[in-house]
Amino acid sequence: MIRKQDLQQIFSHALDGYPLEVCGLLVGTETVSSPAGQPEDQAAVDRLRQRSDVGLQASGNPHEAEPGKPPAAAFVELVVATENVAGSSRVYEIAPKALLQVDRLAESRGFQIVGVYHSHTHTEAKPSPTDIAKAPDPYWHYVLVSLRDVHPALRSWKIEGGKIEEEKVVVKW
Amino acid sequence: MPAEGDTVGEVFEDLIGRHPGLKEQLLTDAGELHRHLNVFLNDDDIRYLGKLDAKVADGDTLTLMPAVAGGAL
Repeated sequence: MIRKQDLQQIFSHALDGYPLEVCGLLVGTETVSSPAGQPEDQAAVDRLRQRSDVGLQASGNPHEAEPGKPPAAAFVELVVATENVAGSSRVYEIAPKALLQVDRLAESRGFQIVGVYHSHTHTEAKPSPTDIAKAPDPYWHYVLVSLRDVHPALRSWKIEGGKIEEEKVVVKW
Repeated sequence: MPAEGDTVGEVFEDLIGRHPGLKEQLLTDAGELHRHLNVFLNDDDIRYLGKLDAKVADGDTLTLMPAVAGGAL
């Protein structure tokens, strides 16, 4: 789950950085998913599906909490834009020092890094082979913003063992 | 977790001795630091401190973090 203003910050960052890829870190808490994958606020999800202006995707394939599986959902408390030290329209890399700083910031507030976002300027909001190969943490949420089409699109994924699974993005209005 | 050694490399050896499963996470087959692993000695990246030869002192903290990268390709 992510607040509307944080979602807007991600879109703004992606658009401002165009034509280069931008990246940032998601700080927050891991939560347990709702029973049987039912979101707590179905109305909010329905509203999302109707909003073409932000292009949010609502997947019908939610994670369910199972013993031994990584936590399924996260609440994003803070979005931290970081520099793409690769300075590229095709790849991104977060500076190691920035990662350390954000990790300590998160820890100082009682949170943790729960994921990373980056933009794809000319391809869909889906992990590329590079994204999959380099995904560092199966617990993280990998948020992608696509600027390929007129309306930016945002989707979120889990990546584990070379496999990807889309997850719901729920916006707190 | 606590560990001992005069250099980062020695600290890693100490850790690997107690937790053998860590070896492949930390080092390549050639015994070098994995390219996709960032290691900080307190606030500094050990790549700029001599890598595995970086000196450590009592009370120093090593923080290990994965490289975060990707892209559209």
